[in-house]
Amino acid sequence: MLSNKNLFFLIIQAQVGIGILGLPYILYNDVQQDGWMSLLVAGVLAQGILIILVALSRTSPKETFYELNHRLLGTFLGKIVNILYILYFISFSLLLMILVSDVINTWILHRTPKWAIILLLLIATTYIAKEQILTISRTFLFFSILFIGLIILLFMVYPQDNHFGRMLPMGSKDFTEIVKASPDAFVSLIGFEIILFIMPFIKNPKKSLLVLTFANLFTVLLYVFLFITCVITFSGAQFSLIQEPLLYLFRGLSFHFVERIDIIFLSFWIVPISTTLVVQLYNASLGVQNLFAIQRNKCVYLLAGILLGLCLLPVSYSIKESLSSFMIYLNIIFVFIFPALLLIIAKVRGIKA
Amino acid sequence: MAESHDEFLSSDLTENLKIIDEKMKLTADLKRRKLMFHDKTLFILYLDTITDKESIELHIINPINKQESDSIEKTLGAIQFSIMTTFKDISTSLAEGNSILLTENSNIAYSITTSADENRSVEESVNEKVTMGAHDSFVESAATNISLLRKRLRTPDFKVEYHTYGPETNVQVAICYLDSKVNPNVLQSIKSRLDKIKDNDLLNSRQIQETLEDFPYSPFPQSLRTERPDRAVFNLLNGNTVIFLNHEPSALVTPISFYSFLRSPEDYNSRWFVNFFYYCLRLLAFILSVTLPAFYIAVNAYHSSILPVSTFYTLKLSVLNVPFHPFVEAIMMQIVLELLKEASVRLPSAVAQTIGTVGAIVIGSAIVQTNFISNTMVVVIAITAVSSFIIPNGEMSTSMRLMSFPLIFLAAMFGFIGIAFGLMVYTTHLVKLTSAGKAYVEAPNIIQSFFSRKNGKGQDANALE
Repeated sequence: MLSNKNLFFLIIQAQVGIGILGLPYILYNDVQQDGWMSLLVAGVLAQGILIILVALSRTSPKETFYELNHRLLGTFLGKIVNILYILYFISFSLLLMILVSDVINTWILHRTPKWAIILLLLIATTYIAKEQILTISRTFLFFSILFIGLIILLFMVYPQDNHFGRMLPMGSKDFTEIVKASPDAFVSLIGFEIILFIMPFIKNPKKSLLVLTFANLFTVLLYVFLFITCVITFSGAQFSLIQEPLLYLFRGLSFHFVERIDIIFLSFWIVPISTTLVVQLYNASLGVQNLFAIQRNKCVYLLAGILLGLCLLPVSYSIKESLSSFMIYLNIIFVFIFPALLLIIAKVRGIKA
Repeated sequence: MAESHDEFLSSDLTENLKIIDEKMKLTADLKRRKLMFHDKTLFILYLDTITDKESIELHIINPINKQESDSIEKTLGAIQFSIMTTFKDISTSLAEGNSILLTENSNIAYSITTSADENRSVEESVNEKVTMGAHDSFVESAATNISLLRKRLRTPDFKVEYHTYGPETNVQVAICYLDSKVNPNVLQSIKSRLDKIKDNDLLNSRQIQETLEDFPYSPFPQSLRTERPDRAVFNLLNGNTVIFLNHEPSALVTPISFYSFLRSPEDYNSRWFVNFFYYCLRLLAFILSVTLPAFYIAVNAYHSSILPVSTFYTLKLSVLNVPFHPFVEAIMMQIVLELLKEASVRLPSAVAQTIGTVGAIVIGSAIVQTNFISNTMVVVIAITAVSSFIIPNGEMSTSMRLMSFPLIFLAAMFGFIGIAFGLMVYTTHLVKLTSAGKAYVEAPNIIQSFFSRKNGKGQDANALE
């Protein structure tokens, strides 16, 4: 059973991943120095969704989301919805893997074929995802040491050439513009939907909302800190050009005995990125298990095989852009709108019964 | 009813002797002595290779010859004996080193304990040496070993259970624990697992280890094998179970946490900051011995850009004339190191010193001069080896050194990315492991464990040994 500590680290590892590399760039291009407000808006949005998700899973704490679908929507409709969810998780994982292999190809291993990187990624994540959720969360706890490394590195940027004036003017953009940019920030907060699937395994379901709130708060604050650090370091002209500002931030760091912190950081930041993939694989495998009634670890192998096959298709890389803009809407539909509808159905049915 | 005739003793003495001879397969070391007791003929049977002849003389033959009392029971009063009626019991009893006393016109036999325990005396531990603390170590007898524990644990709470396993070997296994501290569920699972080896011939403690471990295919040992009574007692006090196999000079401790393998009994005789320092040093040694060669290869082959210019030139000068890929270099050096280590273990100690010289001069300097392996690689592999030798437990030390090979391979293929993925899988594997149902690796809680040690509670959150 997951304790509060386990749940916290599970959620932050599910949320923080590859998004952290490009998030400041995307936000800066949307609303310039006011991006942190968009982040806060997205955080509030995420918090609202969290409340809905927790309320939904509390209607029957002993069931996972897939079982709940079956019960509320009937067998046929429930099955269709479950398949849609599995497809959503698969496409999310696919996009994630394409992005990871791209970043690694541009930054570290220039000539390694993409399939080799993806194969390595899939082997490692499958090894974790096939375990029990408790084991997964305990490994995530160990991996969280990397967050401390990230925060220390971010603080090391401050003694350098920074201008806090770049934060000004504050609030120069319209509030509507800021809100419009928030879905871009929201993508990086995705991951907490795992709560729908792990509610039956939580030791203390009553406190889960509080733990999730803290986890969400941690992630949002980390992003805001990162965004502010980037804004005060880079000038506007620089910022609109560099797609991975976090890595450039670390590239500027230099010590007596080691240079190119960006390479070391990115290499080991692969671990939090993989944890996001682990969570997606876990969610999807529960769905496959629900659909075909086979052992969950076999579902994970099956999904990994499908993902590898999809990545080997040459078309996968050309659809990267369209998939990633498409995914913003998919996220909102699958994480927000549909669970909200389901909650309404559950409440209405609950009153009827 | 031929079977029952075969099974039970009859009143016919010569017939009985004949059947026992057959049961013992007419072995040459089965001796018999004829005696007279109140005009009755007696026979004493024993295997003279494993019995204590002095004890037979003193406790059986002398009293019988003196004919002090009417009955045999009273004559044998001073020594432990039991009464047997079947040939099967008798032959087993003979094989255990007991003497059998057969009387005329009687269908019972007396089995008298006369086994000679050829024991090594308690000596200093060879494999787990300490500079401070007790110097005794376990020997090849479960009874002596338990007496070493009892010396330290003078409490009725200390409980011993004997079980015998193996149809041919009939080896005694002793399970020791403190009744009030042990977790009954864990104890139950240990016993039921041990019962699984009933049909196999038990010979060495690796077999017990295999049945006790939840993941026998894991490279990491999940039960601690120790030669030191103080270490065993410490674990007993923490609620763990200690298992002895008769004829094995080591104790198996289960359940055990990973951190216990990084501790030496000496730590508890040291001041807390010395203790803390060595613990941290061993943690560092663990990390170094697993990752250092891989890290070096990744830097050398892929990421030399992370080095400042001056360091970069030093490194490149060192590897300039070496014709091999750093991966090949590392593998060669690791194998040479394993060869040297294995050779020095196998050779008698007088000759083993030569290996040191050969290793230092021939391998160390000559291999660098011929440009087969770079200077830096020799340094890296040497540090790796020394780090792994620091680990107080031999099994763990070897596992750690071997665990660096997959990482070396991954580093040669993918650089730092490979190391990151490898470490990810290692962490997951370690976290997944359980020892008798208890988690093998918990999140490190170092500070708490040292505070509880200072308070003298003897128990801590992680059961850090």
